[in-house]
Amino acid sequence: MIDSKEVTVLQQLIALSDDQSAYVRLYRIYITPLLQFAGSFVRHKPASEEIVSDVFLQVWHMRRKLNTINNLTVYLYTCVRNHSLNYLAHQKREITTLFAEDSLTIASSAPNPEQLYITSEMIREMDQAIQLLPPRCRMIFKLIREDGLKYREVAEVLGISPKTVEAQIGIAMKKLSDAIQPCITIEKRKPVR
Amino acid sequence: MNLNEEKRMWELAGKKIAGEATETELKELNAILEKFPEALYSLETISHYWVSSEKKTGYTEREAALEKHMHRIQKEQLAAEVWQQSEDNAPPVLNIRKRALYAIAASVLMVISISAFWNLQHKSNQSSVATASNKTLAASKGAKNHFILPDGSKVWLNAGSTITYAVDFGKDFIREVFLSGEAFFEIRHDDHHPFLIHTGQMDIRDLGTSFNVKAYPNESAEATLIEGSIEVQLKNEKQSTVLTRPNEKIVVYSKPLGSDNGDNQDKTDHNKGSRGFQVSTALINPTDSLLAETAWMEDRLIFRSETFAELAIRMERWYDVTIEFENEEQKKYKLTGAFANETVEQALLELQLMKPFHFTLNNGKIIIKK
Repeated sequence: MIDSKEVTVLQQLIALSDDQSAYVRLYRIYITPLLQFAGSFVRHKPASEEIVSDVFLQVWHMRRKLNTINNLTVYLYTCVRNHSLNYLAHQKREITTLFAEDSLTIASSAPNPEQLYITSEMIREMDQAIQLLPPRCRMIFKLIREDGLKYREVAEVLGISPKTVEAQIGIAMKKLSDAIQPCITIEKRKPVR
Repeated sequence: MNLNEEKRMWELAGKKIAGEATETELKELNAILEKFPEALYSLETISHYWVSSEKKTGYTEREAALEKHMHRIQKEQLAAEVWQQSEDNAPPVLNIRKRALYAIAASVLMVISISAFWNLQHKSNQSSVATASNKTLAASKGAKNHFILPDGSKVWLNAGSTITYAVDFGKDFIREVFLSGEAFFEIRHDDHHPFLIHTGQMDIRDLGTSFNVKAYPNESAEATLIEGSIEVQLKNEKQSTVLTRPNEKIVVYSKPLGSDNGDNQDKTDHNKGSRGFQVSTALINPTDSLLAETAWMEDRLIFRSETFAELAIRMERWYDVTIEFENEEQKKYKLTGAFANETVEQALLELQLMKPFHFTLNNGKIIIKK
């Protein structure tokens, strides 16, 4: 999860004192989600690594002005998306959808002994339901749930309306619910412990 | 419920779980759920699922990508600009300085501090920061950093530490900062403007020049004088203690003396149980005349007869990892040694040569077992 308060502090440190440690810390915060985000477009690991590195290089070049950016998360994600689409255009690959089907792995949920209300079977069903979501829906779900972006941030990055984001998450929720219905009926039949 | 209502319900549910629902929307959701309570169970379940995601952080991959990226930046840097702090980043030589040398050092410090001060001024004119009344410098975990304060004094911050000072620092009679964590100070001495450092456990006034302060919350606090003299005012004592001899060190305990049943070399005098602090001489590592207290500035983590539990806390900051113990037994191991440029894994292997234990290392999460 990206902590926006920490990010703001880091922006200041980098902008005002060229703070290299802060820059490294910023990199560590964003690298994995941004890599995954780029990967969902370009489906080519070395390419997505280069794209994210390019974006971070850009950040370093404009470090003195870094603290003038209101929302660094939106900025970085948008940069990555633009670079990715650029890359695809240059590759002359057909942009089938803006969100490619691929081996993008959504983080799976490990069964947690403390969660008495959710069985590992339910988790498996829900993980699978997510994987089966239409690509655009799946990407939006990942950005909200895993990367911790806000609805309006996702909307801004992807160039869609917040209502669309709402609707897409709604679809994901319904699919999740559908996926666990069989498990629920079984649960309800079990004797109360 | 009809299709539209259901669609609306899931959209609202999503907003609620994501923390984005407004008051009105929450009310709307509750109204629907009252009519169709069978959806509640699914909602609960999905809610638990939502927060349960265990991220595959890909620690090693991330670090590899970071290294590659930083090389790229450095290549560019060599070609283009010069690092702002590249010259100043070399920490001071930590051998025991003779007083005679200090006069020279002071004048050098003046020159450096003046130019650094100008740079800081220049930069702050360019920025459009929302002015809070305070400015905070921080070194995040796994990092150390070097700053120059507006008055030219230098501060080296250890990992996980912060320093806060007012935006108009230096304009008042007193130069004041608030420290949480550990820092090494090289103060530009000014008889007319005393330099004051506040920590949770003690206040320190500079009467001279360089000293190390360690004041992490919930730990014992220490101040070690390297050069010059400082005056330490403990929060619970009326009289202040003046440290005047180089390598003198004051330790403020967070728990009462006597509760520690170890064989610590420093804290041997349990008769001082009525006071919560002790003044002693800091130990010099005979092999390289490096003080343990300031070794962190030279990229070394030195530990002397520390419990594994205490060392683990320092290692967490140093390497930016988390360390947990499965048993109490390993926590109590006493360890002596030093880490320099090892990875955390190498460090743990070295520790295994000293005391028996096993460990797992996963994505920056370490568990110590029997």
